[in-house]
Amino acid sequence: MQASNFPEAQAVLHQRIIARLDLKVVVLFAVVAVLIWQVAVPLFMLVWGSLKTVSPARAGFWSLDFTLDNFFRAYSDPVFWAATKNSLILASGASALAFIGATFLAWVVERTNTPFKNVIFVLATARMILPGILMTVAWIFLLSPKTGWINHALMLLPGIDRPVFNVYTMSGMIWIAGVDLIPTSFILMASALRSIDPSLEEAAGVAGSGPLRVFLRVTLPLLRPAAVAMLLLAFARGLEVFEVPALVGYPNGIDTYSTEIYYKTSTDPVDYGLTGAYAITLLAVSLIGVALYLRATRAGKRFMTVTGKGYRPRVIDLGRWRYVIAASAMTVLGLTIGLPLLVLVWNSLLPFPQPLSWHAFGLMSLKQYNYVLFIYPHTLLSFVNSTLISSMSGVIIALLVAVISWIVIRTKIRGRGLLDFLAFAPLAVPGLVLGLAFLWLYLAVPWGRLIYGSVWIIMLAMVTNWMPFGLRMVSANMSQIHGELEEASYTAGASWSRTFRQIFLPLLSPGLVAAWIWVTVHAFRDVSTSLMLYTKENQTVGVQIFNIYERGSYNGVAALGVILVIVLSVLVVVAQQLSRRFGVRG
Amino acid sequence: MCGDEAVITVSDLDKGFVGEEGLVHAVDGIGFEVPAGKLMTLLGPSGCGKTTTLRCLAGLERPDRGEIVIRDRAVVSTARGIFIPVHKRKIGMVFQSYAIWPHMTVMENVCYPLGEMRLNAQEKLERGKAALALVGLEGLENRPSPNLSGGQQQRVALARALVGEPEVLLLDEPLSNLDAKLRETMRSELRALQQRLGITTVYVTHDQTEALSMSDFVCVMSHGKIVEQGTPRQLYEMPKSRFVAEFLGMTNFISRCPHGCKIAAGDGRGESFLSIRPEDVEVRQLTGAAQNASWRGEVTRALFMGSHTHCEIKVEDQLLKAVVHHSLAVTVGDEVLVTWNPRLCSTVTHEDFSAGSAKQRY
Repeated sequence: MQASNFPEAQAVLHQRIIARLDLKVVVLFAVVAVLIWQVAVPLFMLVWGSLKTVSPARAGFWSLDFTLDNFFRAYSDPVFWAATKNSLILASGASALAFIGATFLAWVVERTNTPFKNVIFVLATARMILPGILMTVAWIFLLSPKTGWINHALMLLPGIDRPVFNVYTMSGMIWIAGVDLIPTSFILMASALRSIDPSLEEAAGVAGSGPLRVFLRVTLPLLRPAAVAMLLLAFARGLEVFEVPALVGYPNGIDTYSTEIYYKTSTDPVDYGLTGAYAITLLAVSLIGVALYLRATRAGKRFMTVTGKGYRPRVIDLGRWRYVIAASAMTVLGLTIGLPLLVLVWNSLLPFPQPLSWHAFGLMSLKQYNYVLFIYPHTLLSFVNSTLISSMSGVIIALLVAVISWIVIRTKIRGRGLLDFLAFAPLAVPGLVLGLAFLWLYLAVPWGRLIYGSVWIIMLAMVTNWMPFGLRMVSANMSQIHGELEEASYTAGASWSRTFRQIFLPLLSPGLVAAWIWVTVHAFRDVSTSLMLYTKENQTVGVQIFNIYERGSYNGVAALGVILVIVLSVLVVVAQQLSRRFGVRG
Repeated sequence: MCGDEAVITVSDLDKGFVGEEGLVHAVDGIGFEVPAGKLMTLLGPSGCGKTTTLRCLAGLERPDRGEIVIRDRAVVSTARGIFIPVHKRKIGMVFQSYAIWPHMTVMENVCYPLGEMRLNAQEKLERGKAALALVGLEGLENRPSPNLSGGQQQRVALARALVGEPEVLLLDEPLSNLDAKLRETMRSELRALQQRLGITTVYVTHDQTEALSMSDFVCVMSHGKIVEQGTPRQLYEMPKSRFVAEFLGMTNFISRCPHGCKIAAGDGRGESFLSIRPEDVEVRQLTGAAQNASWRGEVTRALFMGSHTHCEIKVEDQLLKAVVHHSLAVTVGDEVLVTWNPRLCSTVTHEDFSAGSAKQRY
């Protein structure tokens, strides 16, 4: 080697070492490892366990003899086929109902000059903080044949002498689950309506089409990919819904996958293998839905007119009809939020379910609150647990998805597709199935006992469960940040880590805060996943509510529910205030 | 090209992207030098590879092949396995979108590059102020950057690029987002600043007026290759290729001339023409004294633009564009005499750059 080349050769060597230790690469490997452990390994456990007759905690679980016996047993049981039918009906009905409600509300908010649009928007989205289990109980209070408010009210009318509605039916289940899916569906439809370039509609108008024709020939076809995606997502969520069938269907002999999975694992003797077969089947059906969803959203990319860009949408002047529309939107919201909340508060003050009456006012007390808070064990602990679990999983998800979306969107590193896939895959995994997978994983690994039975196992499951949603929110935000903003930092001499901390994270923070709030709220209200994972000291508020329900105290559920709603509202408001104070500019 | 020492040397640069149509050579074996203190413009239509070249210089793209030397330091050399990452190159860059960070004030934006230097707060403040004074934005230090006009953002971006006293300044279509009036002001301001600081600059644009008015040297690019390079005057007055002649302004391509100019023998790369700029075409009324070496033609189109008139004149079987001073009242249908100074016409070759290596399917 020539002497003059020596310093340069040294520089090259130096360069290569730095390239190897590049923080970016280290972070990439760390994230991939976390995702594999959090997503791929639990699902692998599920498949492995479903091919076994030995329970995960026993010796022999890791042996290599497999059997399809579990699947044969499941598929030859008529209960399985009844559950299949019920699950499919429930999911289809609920997603259709959610679609109608969400599309109507989204259209009103985004496309009309209806008064109080902002109120409608806030109400429709804020409903998300009401956990499914509370809504289910509220609807039981409203529609139960014996004590339901609505039935009682209707029976005051002449000619009606029998209860009109019975919540304990498939239609009752579809109603509750469908209404519960409206907020998420609303957000999807509203953002789709917002992102249609209004000039496309105006062009059709200029070409001589009337408003109705414009809507049918231009708006609807443009909306179709988003609508299909929303329906499929709602369908997948409808399949995994647990609270509704557990509280309304199961007691009346309407089995679904989720109740079967839950009761087969929670009642002795636990049949792990059979549960695994159910879980795998549910996972497979859900996977089909999510795969179709991905195809629909990918097809949506071809409709380049529906972009992430915020257009000023074309507002339709409804004339006098706007008051009618406003009233009907308010009625929908009142019926799906106001009434359930009212009935919850009412019953939380009463010793047993009561219809509205002057007589009931005399029975009112705070006894239920006293009972759930101080007499029934572990309630305060469950709030501590849930706060810890949900806020921690929110933070972890926000950090993970910030890195993941940066790698996927900004870099050309090989293997980034795998990252995207792993982070998105849990979308197809029902919460109950995920809980089961984590349970098996930490039962089967030798050091799993350190985690099993603690709040950490639930927190880890929450991270996996809500990651796809966090990723979606953050990457939508991220694609609106111009890549040159980061490149300007590099050209200014800043390293990757400084750029990430001082440019990327602050710019992304509105999206991260939104994702954090969303994840935290959803993790806080979770029932199904933590129900599979709780033991003694690590129960969450959701588990606590479910257990109080199982003891038969509906009014206790109402009281605890009211407390939960207050806590969550405070949490959301505080989070928003804090993020504003720390300079997050939305 | 020039006696000065080259600050930037680019040789054999290659960069391909895998697109839907297979591998596309965005930059295809180009090389150029920028002498110290000079402004070099990379000019070409969109997709010609000029921005990719600039991004390779900055280190935002990693070339497939080639070598880039900035002030005696190889920042890229595929042969020697060198790639200095972007933040270790001493560059300043202004982006097309300005890339002003919205979560910082003007001063925070400008001082950001100083964060890597060992300076105390007072020194940083002074250098930031000096940089802002340079671009004429004194007094806006604490303005949140979203409250800036387009022109102000552009100046902040420039101040930020200059504050660290970089070895080279890279400008990626910095004026394309400004309105026409402001663009003209900024053009001369930017050039004056560049000359005052004597900073070696590479400027990317698709606007030939910008390129001609601001540059010391211009590289005209097409399909990833440099078609021609030289001073603005050389390229405008004596282009060698049909593409450059056309891209830098209106021109006439003709196969013969009234003086009987010979088309220089082509080198076999493509068909050759004579190129004459419309403003070099002399038009006279027929009534004047008879001229040698002129053609008779008929005005077929005349657009009065104020200071001058754009004409189209039919001479035998070819249409000539001519720019005529407003004092000569020409109207459609007039018979006129046409001629030009033979020294002003150049021989250009028509080469098809899109053929061959630019796009390859794999």
